[in-house]
Amino acid sequence: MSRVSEWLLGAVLCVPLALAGLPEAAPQDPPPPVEVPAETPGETPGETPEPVEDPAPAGIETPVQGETPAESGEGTQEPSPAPAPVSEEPASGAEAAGTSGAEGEEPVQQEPAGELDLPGETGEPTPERVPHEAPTEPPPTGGPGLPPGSVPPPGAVDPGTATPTIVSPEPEPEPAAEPASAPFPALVPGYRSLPEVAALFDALAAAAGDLARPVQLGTSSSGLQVPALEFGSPGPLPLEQRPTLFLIGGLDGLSLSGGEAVLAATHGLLASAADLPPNLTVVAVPWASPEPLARLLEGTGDGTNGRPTDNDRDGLLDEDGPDDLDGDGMILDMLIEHPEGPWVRGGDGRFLVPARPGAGTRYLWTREGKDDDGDGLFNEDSAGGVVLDRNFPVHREGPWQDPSVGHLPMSEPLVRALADLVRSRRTVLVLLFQGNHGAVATPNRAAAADEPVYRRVTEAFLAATGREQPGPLTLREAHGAPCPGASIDWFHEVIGALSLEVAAWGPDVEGGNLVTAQSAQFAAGGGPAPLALEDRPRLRARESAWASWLDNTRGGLGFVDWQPVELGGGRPGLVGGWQPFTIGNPPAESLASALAGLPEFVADLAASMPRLEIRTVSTRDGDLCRVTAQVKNLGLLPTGLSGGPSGDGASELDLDLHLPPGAQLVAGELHVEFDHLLGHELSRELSWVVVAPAGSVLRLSATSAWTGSVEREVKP
Amino acid sequence: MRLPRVLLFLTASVLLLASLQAAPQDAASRRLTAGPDRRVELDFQHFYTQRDLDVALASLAAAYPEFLQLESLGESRAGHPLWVMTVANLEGSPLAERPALLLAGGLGAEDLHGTEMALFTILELVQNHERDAAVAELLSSSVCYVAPCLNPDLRERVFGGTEAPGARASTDAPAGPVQFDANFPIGWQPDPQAGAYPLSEPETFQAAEYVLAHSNIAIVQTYTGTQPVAAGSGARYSEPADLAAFTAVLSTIPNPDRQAVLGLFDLPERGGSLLEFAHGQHGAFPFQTLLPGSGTSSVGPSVPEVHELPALGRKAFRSTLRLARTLPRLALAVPAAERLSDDLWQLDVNVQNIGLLPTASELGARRFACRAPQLAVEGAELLAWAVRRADGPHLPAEGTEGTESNGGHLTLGEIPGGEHLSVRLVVRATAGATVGLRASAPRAGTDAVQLTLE
Repeated sequence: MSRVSEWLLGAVLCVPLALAGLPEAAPQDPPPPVEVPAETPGETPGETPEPVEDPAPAGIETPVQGETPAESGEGTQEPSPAPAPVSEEPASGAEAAGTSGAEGEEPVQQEPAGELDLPGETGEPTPERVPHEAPTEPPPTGGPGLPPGSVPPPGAVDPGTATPTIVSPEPEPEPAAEPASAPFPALVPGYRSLPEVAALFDALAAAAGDLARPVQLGTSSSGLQVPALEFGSPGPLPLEQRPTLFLIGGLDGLSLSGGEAVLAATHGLLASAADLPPNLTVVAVPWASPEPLARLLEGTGDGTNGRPTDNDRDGLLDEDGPDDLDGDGMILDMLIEHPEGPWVRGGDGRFLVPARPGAGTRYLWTREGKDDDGDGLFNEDSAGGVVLDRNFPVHREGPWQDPSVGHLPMSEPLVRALADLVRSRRTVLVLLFQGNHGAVATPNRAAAADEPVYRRVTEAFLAATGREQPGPLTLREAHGAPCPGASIDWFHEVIGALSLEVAAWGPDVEGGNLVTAQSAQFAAGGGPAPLALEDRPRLRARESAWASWLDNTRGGLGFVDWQPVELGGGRPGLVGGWQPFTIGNPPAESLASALAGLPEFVADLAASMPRLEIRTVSTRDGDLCRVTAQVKNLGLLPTGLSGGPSGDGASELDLDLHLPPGAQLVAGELHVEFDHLLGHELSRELSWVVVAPAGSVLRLSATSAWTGSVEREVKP
Repeated sequence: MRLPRVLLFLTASVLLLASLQAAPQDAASRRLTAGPDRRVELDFQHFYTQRDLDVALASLAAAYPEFLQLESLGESRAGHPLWVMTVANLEGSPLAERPALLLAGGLGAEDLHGTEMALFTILELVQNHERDAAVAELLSSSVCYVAPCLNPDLRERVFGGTEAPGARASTDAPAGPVQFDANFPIGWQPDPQAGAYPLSEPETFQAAEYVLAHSNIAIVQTYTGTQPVAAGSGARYSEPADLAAFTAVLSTIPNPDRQAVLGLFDLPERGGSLLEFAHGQHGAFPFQTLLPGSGTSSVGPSVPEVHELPALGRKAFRSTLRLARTLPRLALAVPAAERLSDDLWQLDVNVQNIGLLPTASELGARRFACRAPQLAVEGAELLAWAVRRADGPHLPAEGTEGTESNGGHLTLGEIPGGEHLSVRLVVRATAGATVGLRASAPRAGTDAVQLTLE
């Protein structure tokens, strides 16, 4: 070796660090792979989660405009053909209410109170948080945990809405509801497999008769058929042309409880099929990410769909995944002692806290597994794939930052199928049941002007579930991490839908502490990455919340204490962590608690969909006619959002006057555009002066993207 | 003590190295020594309908089987095939191991005549394979993937007579017209014309998959008939080294053709274009060739008159040829081998990039879109190594120690155009053993050397 020249000295000699043998974390919270640095110090890969922002300012009230209980149009019937003098001052909605019965005005009807029984509206204080009792028996009509009487029937309809004509291009009337041809299936609380979900949907569809039908979403990347069902009350519009509510479960590949929440909500709605709101379609997709959910049931899922991915860009696929090192049948977490490790064990030795300078034994944190390919990295290229909920294009990171977002946006067949389905419908509301933060989360870029809408929805969620939440939380706040490429951001910003993530499970659902802006992930955004100082208290609070639930409710069962393992080469390691079905999904016996109130929440929202009504006042003096009109949103949800797609009029409201042959417009605009209407809001009043022979019938139509069109005839 | 010189069985790459180090030859001044190899006559006196294109491509592939492979990426929304012609000397090293240029035409209204330009380029390449040394070299050492028409539905509507001129740039997408060149992921913004999501169109989706599936694509070229109204700063897209590489390539193109070739930095930041995707996600070097007509065509403002097609076609061919000659290529040489002890040998190896572009763009390397050059050793046990640039500092190089059966390999750093890395290897092998060295990079091809240690 003496002939090795000086040129070689000082250069990099090969000292590949090979660490033998190691494994997978709890399926709910897979930390990223860990690189074991060689002798030289280097940056630890990973990102520092950003600090949680303050939730939206409190105290913003939802403006409910134009709520004049006495006002309402009747429809196309003209009650008073007698001519009336043209009014000098067109009556406002309130004035119209005060002059009910005056000649030339359409009669008005009492409008029922809002469908959501919210504290802010009733003047009652926010209800105390009441622990839910898990139902042990399914109710006779199905739907676990339906507290009777607390929610008006979802089909509560203003009689005034029944009269406007629904306008659609060559509508094909839906057949009237046939008596159910099969008994309505019971919903037994518990985790279902994909075939069981499909069988339940088949049974629900059979029992619902013509009200429900399957939706073809295609197959997943491995060929699994995804159960999906659409249903709605009988009505003149085909289901695919109606305003639509999407219920999507487990798109994150982790939330089996989200899938069960969709099943419970679907079951609840169909159990009262006669009360389904009119002119509404519900599309339910409980197992939107079938492969990872199926693997999760088997105890090996990590949220990804198993598509072979070269995570570490070494030209090999899936060559170093987690392993069950200690043979306990579970793949949990693993700690590897390392002088530069970013973690240390906290005061509660079960949990980790970020290492401070001078800290004691430091650890790298990864999933349980050995270094299968001997490259010094642990579990850096598992049989992962793509997380479908992160495969969307809005605020997306590149695959070079996170391979689980997919090599291309919308690369996964199911994601494209779901996106195309949502695009093809008049999508008003998308509820994604997933996550374990226990809260309802809004899109990351929800417009400030829409905050009252989100606040109202959040309050409805809290009222239905008895949970606590300080106010609307963005997805980022709820997760404590940015969530790039999340589906609800695309549903909101591109589709323009009201989009929400609803987490059935969280630390405070069943006896844990309330954590504001929590991420229920034990390792959310963490792994080996050192956290910024400002993030550390949040991390501890999160762990504390779960620890509180674990100790107070579970007697400490559900967390495997760290046990030493041999990693090869004399390198020590520890294996332990959360067991499956603890923090990612509730234990089976806690599932009913997690789902309690969610069907009622969905029913509330379904009954609160926006609906338009045109109110008119007309007078005639010879051939000279004066028409005034307003549009009212009879629903509690708005007719559109301020945020969402820009520049395409997605949220605007159009009002058109259609004149019959022989009529002539003297004053006014044939086409008027409004901003969207808030819940129960009445538009400004518009007037037209028209010369039309007696007996002429004028038509007014109001249209918005969310509601479709309503039409009203006017016979001045 | 210097041991006896080893017998070096160098591959032809050394000779190739010498020949390629000569100054690039201008295509216009090359001497053509024979007539073109005409096996198919294509008429560029009309625009090709989709049916015409199908026939022309099939005829070419049948007539030049040693140079052409025709395949379909898939189908357009209306069911037309999305053709890709592989143009290369099909004998020799595997195509996937050669550096490649992707030429994409007919994306939309701006390059409707790009289809004829691409067809003309294919024809020129195969007809001149014998008489033009630059073409012959390109065909043997590189690959051109030519997708002449990525929007066949538009072509069919315009030239098949089902759509009035001027009403182009649309598809039959259910949500409305989508500009294909705004539908790719990098820089995509929610906009009705950009599609409801990136790659919402089957044509763009399959094109993107094709690019990512071909790790050897180092250059992506498109056409436009419209002069960019505003140049982009390029600040979003690239690294300083990449800007230098763009500049170096463009400086090799003489006027007046120089004005017709646009680098990414000459183009406005439109978002969602194929070229932005090619650079931002695949790390390829994107170029666009400007081929406007002389006036307002009856077909549209960006489309030339029919009689202008042959002249523009020659211009298009020259731009592709010039760009392809800048592709990175590895050449391997072993200038010295020395015996250190009985079974210990020291090998000095030069790994040179004889192309003008680097072995990977800086952005591509940073985003792991392109694996760094590798040096593999076979027939000897790799014990130690050191890497440095010529007269430069030592560089870190990750590697795997060899075993008796598996020699070992090194991962080298990226090599700029025209530069080389000096690699010193210490290997264990018995005297008389034959040692194989193989350098490879996804976008710079492969080169191999075998030597007998004596």
